[in-house]
Amino acid sequence: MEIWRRLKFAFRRREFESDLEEEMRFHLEMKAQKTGDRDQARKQFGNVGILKEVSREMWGWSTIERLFQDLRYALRQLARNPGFAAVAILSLALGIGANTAIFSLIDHVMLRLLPVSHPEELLVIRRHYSYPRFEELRDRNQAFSAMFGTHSMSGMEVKTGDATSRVAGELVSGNYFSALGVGATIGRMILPGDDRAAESGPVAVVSHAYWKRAFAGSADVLGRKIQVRSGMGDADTYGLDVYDAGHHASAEGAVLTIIGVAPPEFFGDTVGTVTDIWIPITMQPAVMPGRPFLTQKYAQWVNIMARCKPGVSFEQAHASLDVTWRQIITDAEGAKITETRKREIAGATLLVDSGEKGFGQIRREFSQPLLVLMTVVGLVLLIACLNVANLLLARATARRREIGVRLSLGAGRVRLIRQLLTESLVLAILGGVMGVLIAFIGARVLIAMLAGVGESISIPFETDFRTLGFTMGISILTGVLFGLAPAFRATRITLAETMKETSRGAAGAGRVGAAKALVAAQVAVSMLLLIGAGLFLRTLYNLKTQDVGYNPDHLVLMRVDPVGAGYRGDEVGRAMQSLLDRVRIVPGVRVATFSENGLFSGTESGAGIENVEGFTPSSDRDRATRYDQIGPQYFTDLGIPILLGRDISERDLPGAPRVTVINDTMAKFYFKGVSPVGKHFTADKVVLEVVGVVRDAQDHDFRAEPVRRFYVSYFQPIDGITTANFEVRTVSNPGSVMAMLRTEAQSFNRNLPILSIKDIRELMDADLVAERLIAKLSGFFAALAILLAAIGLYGVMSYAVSRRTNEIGIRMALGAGASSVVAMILGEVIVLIGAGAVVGSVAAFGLTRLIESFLFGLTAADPISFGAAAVLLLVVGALAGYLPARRASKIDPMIALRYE
Amino acid sequence: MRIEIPPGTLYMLILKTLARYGPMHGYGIADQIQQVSDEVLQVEEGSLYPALQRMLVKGWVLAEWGQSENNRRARFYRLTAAGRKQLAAEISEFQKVTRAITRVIQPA
Repeated sequence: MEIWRRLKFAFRRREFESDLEEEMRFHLEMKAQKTGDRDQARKQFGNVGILKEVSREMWGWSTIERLFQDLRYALRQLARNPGFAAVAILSLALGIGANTAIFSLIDHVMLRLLPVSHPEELLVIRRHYSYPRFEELRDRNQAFSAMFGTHSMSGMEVKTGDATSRVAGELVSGNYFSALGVGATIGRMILPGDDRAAESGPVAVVSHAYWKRAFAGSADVLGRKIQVRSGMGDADTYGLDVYDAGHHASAEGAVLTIIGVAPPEFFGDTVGTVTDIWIPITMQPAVMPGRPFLTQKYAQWVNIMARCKPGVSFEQAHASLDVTWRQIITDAEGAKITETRKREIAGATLLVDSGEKGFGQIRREFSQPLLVLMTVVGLVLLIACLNVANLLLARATARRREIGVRLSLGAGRVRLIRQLLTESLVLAILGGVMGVLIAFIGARVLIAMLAGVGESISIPFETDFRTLGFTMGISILTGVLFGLAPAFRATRITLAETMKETSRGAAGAGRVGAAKALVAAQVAVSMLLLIGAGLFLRTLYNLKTQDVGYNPDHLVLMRVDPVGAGYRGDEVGRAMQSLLDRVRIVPGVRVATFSENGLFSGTESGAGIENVEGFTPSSDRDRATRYDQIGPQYFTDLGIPILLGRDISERDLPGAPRVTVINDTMAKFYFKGVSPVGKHFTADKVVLEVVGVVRDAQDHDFRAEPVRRFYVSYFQPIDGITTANFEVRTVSNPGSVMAMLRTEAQSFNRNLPILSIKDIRELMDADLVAERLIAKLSGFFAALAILLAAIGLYGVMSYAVSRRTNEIGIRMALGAGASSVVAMILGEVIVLIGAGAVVGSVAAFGLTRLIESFLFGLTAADPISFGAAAVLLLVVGALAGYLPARRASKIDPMIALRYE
Repeated sequence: MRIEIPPGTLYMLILKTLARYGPMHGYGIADQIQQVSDEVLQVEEGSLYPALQRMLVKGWVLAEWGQSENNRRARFYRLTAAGRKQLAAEISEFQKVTRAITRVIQPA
């Protein structure tokens, strides 16, 4: 009711106003009639204007009215100073835009929950597991209402009719959708009955987006048949046995019937990736011909997620899971379990993460870099705020008279502060609106950088409510932040002061002091950002120029899938040797060899070795090694120096003595000082004789310390071969050779899947995505910061010079030369920068420790980064200060003296 | 001597005046309160009109234009049912407070 009366007032306020006016006129006349003194009556009545305003306030609309009044006034003020408005809004837009862009990524990568029911109950087990292990865990665990496995296949081939395309497929347990609580848009989802036995459920569920894209959203998608096939997938499928002669799956892949469409919001279970097709996990052998993983104990390929029973906490579930896990691995040891092993198992634990945000590959990789970047852009925004605060301060000085007059005419200080704050909020919100546009472009660039090379990361940047809310929030926060102090300062004056002072009087002194403090603060924050950027850039440089043990120039890696082509057993090695012979004579190829895991491929093999001659391991950890299976002349062709003995050769064939070449780290660890050549050890039940020692090389990683690594002949594999990576050294630019390599491989066997052909630099870059992202962006933002600081510095010094025109004129009249005036002004600039730089360095000294783990080849107190930042600041600062200094030196004493 | 109307009691005084004498215009209300209180209470115009507006918002009174005693157009305020309820509430509250104050200040 009351609200209705208020609304009526709002819409018919003209009528209400005239009513009130007439009523008061009547009152006044009655009063005058009674007393007979019109003037006396009016005096008693008081200020009609104020009375009307107070009466109006009773209706509760005045706050909004005043806001509109203030807004109109603020916009008028800004329109009157377009230059000021443009600089202020642009500074803020850059700051806010950068923050919004990074926030939208953080939101998607780190904050969003999976679009499933009760995501907080989910738990993810890190790493991959074999299918039998997964089944054991699933069947024996106590703490979960459901446990399910998945395996994603990013480049799965799909044939619909004649068309073949590559999509993101995922193998999932039958209980996947029911456990997540995701229902079908049409049709049905995969059900527990679909994964009962191997290859028993030839069905598929498609995503809403894929349904729209590939089937035009038509309902007759249900019942359609598709043929799918996948190569290696993404799992580190090391140690897996593919010599499964009894298996006769069609190399064509699996034919599946589409049974349902997922809801539009369900993108999958992994942040940053979008799944197109889900298939029952038991269809794996058919989907990946030649790789019957379901029964393999050594193929580690299943991701595991589970839903805690209601009332079971994450910690309880983890503890219970560990108990189950220890039982499983104890049982696997059998009766001959040693005491050492028992003790080891007692301490065994599974690494788990909360599953509310899904599988967290990207989150783990990018969380920290994104937080570092959020800090960086936060600092940039701080600099932008300081800049705008400085501009506002300057303007407040220009408006001293206006404010003084308004105060003396009875405007309340609070009212004036509110007016000034409204102006800064208008600036901030305009900056925010522009910031969203900048963020929209910026986020695209960022995502492209995140995606790196060849990886498909899809993070949609949408201007959704969360992001817009964040932008709105920081805009208002910044508006208050940079507006409050100048507003308080500006209204702390009396009319008497204003009237007394001349336009360039003493009152400016305080303002210059405050402005200089703000600029020094900007310099300090810029210094911090510059040092950070220096550290990150130097880290990237150190990583990129690190000696990996071989020359990465003109080196091409071609990855093929001989198993997918149907080769089995010793055929694999023979076929790859034949292909190598053909690759070696391709024009432009200098040398070529091959290995199973290749270089920087993301695939790695590991083994616990036994019976090392002359070495007694003190724990399992001492037995851990990495290995690769390599083609002939591998080290010679790659240029990795052989320190002792010989390379693997064409004669290390099946049936010949089993040999191995070990790296320097491994030689030193196991054979301390004794020549390892001729010594033996056992890997995966195969006794190997060491025939050579090679220098350490970084096979897969820039950062890792050299690990113990041994190499066996590709023709004498110890665990079966899954792929071949050809390392091809070209004479010149590899671009043209890559195309010929593809043709050659296809003409060799057109059924041989070519998984990729890439310059190793591309693969290496993919390993440095996070480092490059941080280095580039922190460099970019440091440049932005220094630009903003330079603008601030220029503004302050210009103002200081104009204020001292008179003084400088006198100095020059007394004989000071132009150069000494320039020196005087520049001296002030340098003091200002020096003060800021010192503060910034001290802050950096404390803060850079926090990013120590990101650095490589330098310490957090790297003198080069600190020094370079200081020099850069001084140079840019001196340039910004030089223009006002030169203007000062051009002052004509005669004019200056008359200036006042 | 004129004293200021104790804060918070103006609504009560206006409501009571309207309840006792029927619809009245603003000037009449102020005049009436002054007279009835033997010139002790003077209603300032600066408080009267904001108070009347507030009472309109609250729905305690209604305003309508009519003829004044000297045939001028004047705005008359009339008590509503809600206003009557408010008056009762304010009076009982006021009496409670005055009794309490009296107890405190009366000689032992």
